[in-house]
Amino acid sequence: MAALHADDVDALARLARLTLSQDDSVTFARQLGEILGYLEAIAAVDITEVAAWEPPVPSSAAWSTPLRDDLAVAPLPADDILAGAAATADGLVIVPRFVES
Amino acid sequence: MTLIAADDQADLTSWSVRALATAVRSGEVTATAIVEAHLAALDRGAELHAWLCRVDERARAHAATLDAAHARGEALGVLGGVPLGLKDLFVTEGIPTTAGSCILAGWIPPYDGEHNTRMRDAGAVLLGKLSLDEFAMGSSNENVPGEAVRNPWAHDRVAGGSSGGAAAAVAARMVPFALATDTGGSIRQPAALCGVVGLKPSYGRVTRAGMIAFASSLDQAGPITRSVRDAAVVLGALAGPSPGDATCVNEPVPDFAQACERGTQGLRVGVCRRALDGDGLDQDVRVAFFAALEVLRDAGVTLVDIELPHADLGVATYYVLCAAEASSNLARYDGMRYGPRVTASSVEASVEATRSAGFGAEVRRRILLGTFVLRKAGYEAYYGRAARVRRLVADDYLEAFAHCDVIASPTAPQPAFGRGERNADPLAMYLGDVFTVGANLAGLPAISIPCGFTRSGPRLPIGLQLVGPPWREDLMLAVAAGHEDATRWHHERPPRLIDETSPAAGSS
Repeated sequence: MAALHADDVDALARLARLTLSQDDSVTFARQLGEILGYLEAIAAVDITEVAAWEPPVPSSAAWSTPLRDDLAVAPLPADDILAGAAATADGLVIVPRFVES
Repeated sequence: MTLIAADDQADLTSWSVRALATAVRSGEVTATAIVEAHLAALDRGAELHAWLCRVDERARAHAATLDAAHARGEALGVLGGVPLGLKDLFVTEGIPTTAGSCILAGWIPPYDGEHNTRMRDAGAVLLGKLSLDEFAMGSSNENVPGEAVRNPWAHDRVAGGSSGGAAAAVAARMVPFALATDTGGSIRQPAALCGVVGLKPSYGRVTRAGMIAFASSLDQAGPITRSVRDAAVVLGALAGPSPGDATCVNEPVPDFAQACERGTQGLRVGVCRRALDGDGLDQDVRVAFFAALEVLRDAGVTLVDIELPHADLGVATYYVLCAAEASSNLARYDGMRYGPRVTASSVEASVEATRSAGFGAEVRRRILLGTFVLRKAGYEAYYGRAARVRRLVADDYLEAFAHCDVIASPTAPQPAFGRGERNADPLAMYLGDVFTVGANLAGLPAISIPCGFTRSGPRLPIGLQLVGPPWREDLMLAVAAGHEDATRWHHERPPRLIDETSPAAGSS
């Protein structure tokens, strides 16, 4: 069974763009260790010859993947979009610096 | 067919979806009167914490518009004047949409999801947004920034999840129906725990466009109602081809209401008895389930023993896949273009701070789990393997359907558990999904209907689950309606609604 340590959880958190408190890392390590232990159930299954699942499709002859018409649709009003952002100015979203000058 | 019980006629909040729509069309009742009666019910039921947001004035204005249209002789839609609530995972233009998460606190979408549009086109009147476990991850509606939803039958018990607000609101007669979503049981389990009907359609029957994504290969929207026939009517209005979701099939919508009138004669219901052997199955649930099978047998159904050899692997397979998909889907929440932001010295630091402050414990746990199973070092052993085991689980169902028309099981192994009981033990919470995840993994239609109550302790509802073959909601509905015609469970109402002075926990 996959024993997880707080350090392992911190490494996962960095990949997932999360920062954890030390307490959270310890608790998550224990809980994820238990969960991963349970997930081991699938390790013993013989899956040679088994392809990944795909959803059932209707049996009717007429069925096909639905495609939209090739139409350019008007975008949502810029002001409505900007209203949801944390910081804006002059019709733009303001974000913290991400390029070194 | 009697749509309204005689003793309930005075109270519009006890009417069915069909009775309300019929009464509005005939001019017997106005949409305004219906909406006012239900808004008053929202006031009375505030202590259940089912609603995250109410839109009373919008609802009144919408009802007035419908009444005016009716007065002009215009035809109203199939749900004309019927109030509804939307789980707060459905995107609604101009109405806060949070997914139950701080990371979307205060976000007011600039567009409508197709679900809200379809309901409005059918004439239904939106009363507000319903509570849920954050991003639909949970089975108790306790993974919330605010108050957990109370079970209307016993306020110290959970309402189930993730659609606990939707199930509680329908059970407590605040709305005759709600739309919810089901990724591993999130419509059916709370419906079972609250004593109402919850229907998860076939994967691809209903659009996912405008539904905030949790695990895209499993997510499906459907109705929570108080009767099978109401669920059929709402599904008819919700289903159909969608320009916004390529997984939503290009097929005509069957007449689901008609399917309810087929009768049960000659139908075979399969039961996997081995799945009932586990010691996790509550004794009262077991008794109620076998009583429901007898009801079906008396209604002309043939019971057939079936095997689902890989059913034991369902929960493990499900949690690998849903965590993987969740960690990918939720990567988009960075606080830059929408939603609140915790500002730090750089973009990267801001993103980390925003996500860490915005996501609750269960969501972070699943993102971490999903990241683990998608790592290069774990991909084949976990994600790749689960995608193949999923086929084994799904093939079991197809094999079983060679011998039966519908598969029956309990919906949840236990009735509503105590609030706070499983919070420290996520694995125990996950194991409660044992009967529901199979339909999601296999993309099958499934419904939970009321089939009895616990005999010991507080009187709590118990749900019967019926799973149909691919695209055969009609068979599932025929059996469900047959059970409903032979029982009175769906007429039961939570104790507070019978007598305002009865104790919160109820008595049997």
